[in-house]
Amino acid sequence: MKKYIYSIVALFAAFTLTAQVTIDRSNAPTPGPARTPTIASYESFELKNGLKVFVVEDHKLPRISMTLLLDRDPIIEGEKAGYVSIAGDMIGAGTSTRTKAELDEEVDFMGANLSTGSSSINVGGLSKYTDNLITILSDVLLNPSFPEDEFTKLKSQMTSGLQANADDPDAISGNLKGAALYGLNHPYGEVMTDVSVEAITLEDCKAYFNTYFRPNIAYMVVIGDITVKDAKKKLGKALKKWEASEVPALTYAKTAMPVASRVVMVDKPSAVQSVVWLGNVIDLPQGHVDIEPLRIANQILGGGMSGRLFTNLREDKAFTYGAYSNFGVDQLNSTFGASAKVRNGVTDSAIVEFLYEIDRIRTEQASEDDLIAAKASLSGSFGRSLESTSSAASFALNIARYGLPTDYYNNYLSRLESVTAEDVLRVSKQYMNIENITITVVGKAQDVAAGLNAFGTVEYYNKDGQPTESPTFLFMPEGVSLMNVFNGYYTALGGIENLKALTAIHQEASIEIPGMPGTLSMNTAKMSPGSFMMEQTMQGMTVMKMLYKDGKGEKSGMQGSGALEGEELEDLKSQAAYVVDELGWLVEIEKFNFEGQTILDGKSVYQVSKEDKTFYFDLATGLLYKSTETQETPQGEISVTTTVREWQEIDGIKFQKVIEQTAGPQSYVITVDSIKLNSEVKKSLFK
Amino acid sequence: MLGALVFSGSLSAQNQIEFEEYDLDNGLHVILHEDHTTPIAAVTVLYHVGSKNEETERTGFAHFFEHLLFEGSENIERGEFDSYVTNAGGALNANTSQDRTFYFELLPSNQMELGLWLESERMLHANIQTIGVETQREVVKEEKRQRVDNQPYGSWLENMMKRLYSDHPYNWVPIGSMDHLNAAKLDEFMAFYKKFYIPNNATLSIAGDIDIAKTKELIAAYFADIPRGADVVQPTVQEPALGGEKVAIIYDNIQLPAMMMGYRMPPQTSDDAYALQMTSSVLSGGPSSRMYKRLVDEDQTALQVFAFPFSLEQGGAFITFSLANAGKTIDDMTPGLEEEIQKLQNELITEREFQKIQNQMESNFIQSNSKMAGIAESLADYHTYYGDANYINTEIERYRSVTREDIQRVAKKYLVKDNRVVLKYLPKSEEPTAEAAE
Repeated sequence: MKKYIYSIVALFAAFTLTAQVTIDRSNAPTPGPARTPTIASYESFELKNGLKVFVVEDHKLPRISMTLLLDRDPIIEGEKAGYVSIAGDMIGAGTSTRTKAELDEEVDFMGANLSTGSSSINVGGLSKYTDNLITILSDVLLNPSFPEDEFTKLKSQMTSGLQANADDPDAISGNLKGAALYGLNHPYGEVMTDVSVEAITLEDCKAYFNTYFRPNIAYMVVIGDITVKDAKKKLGKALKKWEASEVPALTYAKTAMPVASRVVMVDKPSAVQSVVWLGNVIDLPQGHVDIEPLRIANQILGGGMSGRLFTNLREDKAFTYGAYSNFGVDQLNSTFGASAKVRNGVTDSAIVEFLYEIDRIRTEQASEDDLIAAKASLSGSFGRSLESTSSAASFALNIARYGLPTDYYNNYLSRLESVTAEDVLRVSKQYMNIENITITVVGKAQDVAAGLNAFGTVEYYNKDGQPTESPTFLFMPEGVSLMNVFNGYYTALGGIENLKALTAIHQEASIEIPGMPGTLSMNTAKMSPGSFMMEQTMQGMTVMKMLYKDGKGEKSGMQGSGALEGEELEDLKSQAAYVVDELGWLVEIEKFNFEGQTILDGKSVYQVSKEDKTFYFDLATGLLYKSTETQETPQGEISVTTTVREWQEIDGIKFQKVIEQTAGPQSYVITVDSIKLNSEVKKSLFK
Repeated sequence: MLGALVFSGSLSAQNQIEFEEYDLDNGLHVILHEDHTTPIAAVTVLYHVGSKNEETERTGFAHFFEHLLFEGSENIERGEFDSYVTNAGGALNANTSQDRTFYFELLPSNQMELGLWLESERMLHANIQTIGVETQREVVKEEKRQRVDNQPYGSWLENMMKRLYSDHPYNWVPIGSMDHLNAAKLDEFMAFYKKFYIPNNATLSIAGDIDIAKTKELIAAYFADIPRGADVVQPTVQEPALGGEKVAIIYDNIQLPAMMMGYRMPPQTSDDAYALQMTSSVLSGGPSSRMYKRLVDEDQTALQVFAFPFSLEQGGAFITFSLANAGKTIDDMTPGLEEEIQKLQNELITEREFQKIQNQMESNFIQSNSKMAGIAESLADYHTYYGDANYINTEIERYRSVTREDIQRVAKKYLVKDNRVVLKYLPKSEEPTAEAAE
C-alpha cells in the first residue's frame, strides 16, 4: 500500500513537472494581452474671481500638492532681463504677517515644501496639513510684502548664479541657442547678464506681480488626498479676496528660418568636450495634427537608446555618452534639434553623422519595423507617465489652456497608431532643416574650430549670447620646431632626396583674370645648374619673357627688352638657383621664423614667417596651404595672398595644380595644365 | 497654532508595502510586490558588486561592466538589448555605486516576461567580446568627460574620497581610472563576470501589475537553471583612523570658490548613521535649517550650502558642500560652517527643531514609495544591505529612535577636525604661477 502511495506521488511529481512553464531562450517571449492604461479623472470648477481649479483626487498616499499657474504671454524683459525671475522669488520672501524666516520655519516644520516662481506657486506636503498649506499659499499670493533686504539678497544671489553658470557648458549652450535662433530681443532669446540684473528695481518686481498675478489668467491644480468638495470650499474661502484685473496681451512675430546653414560657437578654452546642438525653429502649437507624426519621426531619429543617433554616435562610433533629438510644442515658436557632448577631436565628425541621420530621415521613408517600434515605445512611455497622477492634471490643464477637445489625451494612442510612414517623411521634411540648419558648439575653439567651416560660416558669441570677435588661436605647440615643419613639408612633397634629384622642370599654366579678354598662358622652366625661363603669352602674343642663363638675365616683350641688372637680376638668379624653390629655404634658414600653430580658414596650420612674407602649412597634410606677402608696386604697397587649392602628383612628387592668388583688389586662378620633368624638359627653352 | 502640528504617532496603513520573498536553489533572492493601479511592471536585478569590489589596479571595472552588459548575450545580438525593451514600450537603464550594480526595465505589465528573459540572459551568458569592450571603453571615457572633467566642481567626490580613505576601496569612485580600463584584457572581464554576476550575488525584485503565482513560475523557468557561483566575499579592509585633518586646494575652471568638508562615517546600517542623517536635516533640511539660514540668508557668504550623509555599506562620508556668493571667499564661509557644527556639539538641539526633523522624516518616508520602480529598488536595497526587505515599512522606526542626545553625541564623535578632509575649490585664475611660487 505504501508503495502504491509513493507511485502516486511520483506520478503527481511527474505531472507537475510537465505542467511547468516551458521557455524558449532563443526567442523573446510573446507578450500577454495588454491592459490599456487609464487616465485619472479630474473635476474642475471656477471661482467667482475667474480662477479655474482642477482637482485630481488620489487617495493612495496621504499627501497633497497645489500648484497655481499663470497663463500669460511671454515677456521681453529687455535691459532688465531677470526681473521676472526675481519677482517670482520675492513672492516667497515674506508676507505682511510672516517674515521669510517665519515662513520657512512654518513650512519646514510640516516637512512640507513651498516654491514660488515668475508664473507659479506650489505647496505640497502631507494631507493632514492641507489647511495650513492653503493658508500659506493664500498668504504668499495675497499679501507678499516685497521686503527691501530680501530683494537686495536675491539680486546678489542671482549675480552669483550667473558666475556659477559662466563655466557651465550646458548653461552657455542654452544662452547660445536662444540668442542664435531667436536673437537677444526675443522672449526666448534674451539673456540675463550682470548688467541687466543690476538694473532691476524692487518696483519692477512689484509692478510685475500686481499686473500678472491675477485670477482671471490663472489655473490652480490640486492633486492628492482631498475631495473635490473640500477643495472647492477651502480654496473658495481662502482666495475669495484675490481680485481680477485686466492683464496685457502680448504678441510676437513668428521667427524666420536662417537663409543658410551657420555655425555659432562659444569658445571655452578649458573644455575637453564640445556641447553640440543642431536644429531649427519650428512652428508647432498645441493640438496640431503634426505632433504625433513628428513624435514618431523624433523617436526613430533620436528618441532614446534605440534611436538612430544613439546607435550611430554612441554604439557604433563611440563619440559620446549619449546622442538624442527632441522638439518642443509651443504657441509661439519652439525648436527641433539634436544634441550630444562629444570629445574635442571628433566634434566635426559627430556633426557629419548628425547631418547624415537628419538627412536620412528627411529623405528615406521609415521602414514598417521602425514605425511599429516607435509607436510601441511612445505608447509605453505614455502608459508609464500615467503612473503619476500629475499627468492627468497636466492634460486637463492643457485642454483648458489651449482649447483642445476634451478627449484629446484619451485619443492620443489611437492618433499615434494611425500615423503612416508617409506622414513621418512629410513632417521630417517640414520640421527638420538640413540646408539652413543652425549648429551651436560650446567648446575649445583651438581644437575644434578647424573642422567647423565645412558646415557653414562660423560666428563667435560670448557666454551671454552676444556676437564677439573670433578668437586668435596662435600658440606654440609643444615639441614642434621650424625644422619639423620644413621636414614635414618635404616629406609631404615626396621626400627631400627625390626633390634634390630633380634636374629640370617645365610647367605650362593658364591664368583666368576677370575682366581680361582671353586666357593668359604662362610657361616656366628651370634646369640645373642655374637656368630659368618664364614666358607669358596671350592669344599667341608674348606679353613678357624673362631668361636667366650663365649668370646673365634678359627681358623681352610688350614692356620692352634688354639685359637685367641690379635687384631684378638678383631676383632672377635666386629663382634659377634651385629646381625646387623650397630647397633653397635650407640655405637661408636663419631668415625664417616659426611663429606657432593657428587656425586659418578652418584649418589647423603652422605659421612660418620670412621677412614680410608668411607661410601657412596645413597640419593635416603637411603641405603649404597659403602664403601672404606685401609687395611694393608703382601704385603703392599691396598685399598678395597665394592659396594652393589643389595638388597633383607626378613620379611620386607633389606639385601645385590650382593656385588662387589675390593681389590687392585683383583675384585670379592659376591652373597648371602640364608638367614635364628632367630629360623631358627641352634645352631649347632657355635660348 | 503651530503647536498643533505635532507628529502623529501612527502611520497610515495605506502606506504598507506588501511583498513576498524567497530564494531559488541557486541562491537568487526574489522579491515580488503586486500593485495593479497602473498596467506597468518594474523588473530589476541588483548585483552586490560595486567599485569597492574592484582590484586596486583595475578601478572602474564594476561600472564598465554595467555598460558591457548591454552588449547582448548568446541569444540577444549586439545592440538589441535596448531595442527589445524600447520596442515593447518599455524603458531600461542601470547604475553603479560603490556597493552595487543595479539594472532595471520598466515595462507594460503584459511584457513583464520580456524583462525576465533579458535579465536571465544577462545573468546566464552575457556576450563579452572585444568589439563591445573597445566601444564601451570610449563611451565610458566620454561619460567621465561629461560628468567630471567638463563639469565645474565635477571632480570633487573623487578628490574627497581619495583623501578620506587610504586603504579601503572607497578610496576611488565608480567611474575609476581610464588607464586601468585601457590596460584591462578581455579575459579579465570574463573573470569579473564569472565572479560577481552569479545568482547567489543577486536580488531579483519586481513590482507592479503582476500575478505573483504566475510570476514565480516564470522566474523558476528563466532563472532556476543558472548555476550558482562561489560565494562573493565582501572586502573587510580595516581603514586606519584618518589621524588628522587633511586640507587640499584644487584649482578648477570655475568662478565661485567652493568648500567641501567630508567626515568619515560609520556604515549605513548603524544607529549612528541614522543619527547623522537626522543631523544633516538640522543643518540643511529646508530654508529654515541652521546652516542654510546662517550662510545663505544671514551671513550671505554662500549661494548654496548642503549637508548630507553620503552613506555607504561600509562607511562613507558626511559631506558639507558650500558654494561662495560672488565676491565672498572660502574664509568668509568657514566661520559659519564651523560654528554651526560646534553648536551641535556644545548644546542639544531644541525640542522644536527635534520635532521638525521628525516631521520631515515622516513626510519623506510617507511620500517615498509612490512609484513601482522606486519600490522594487528599495526592496532590493533593504534586502542587500540590511538583510531585511521589510525595512521598506519599518525603517522609519530607526529614525524615530534617534534622540537629541544622539545627535549631539554623533556630532562630537564624527564631525571633528581629526576625522575630516577639507577641499577648497578655487578658480584657476588664482592659481599661483611657477614664477610667483619661486
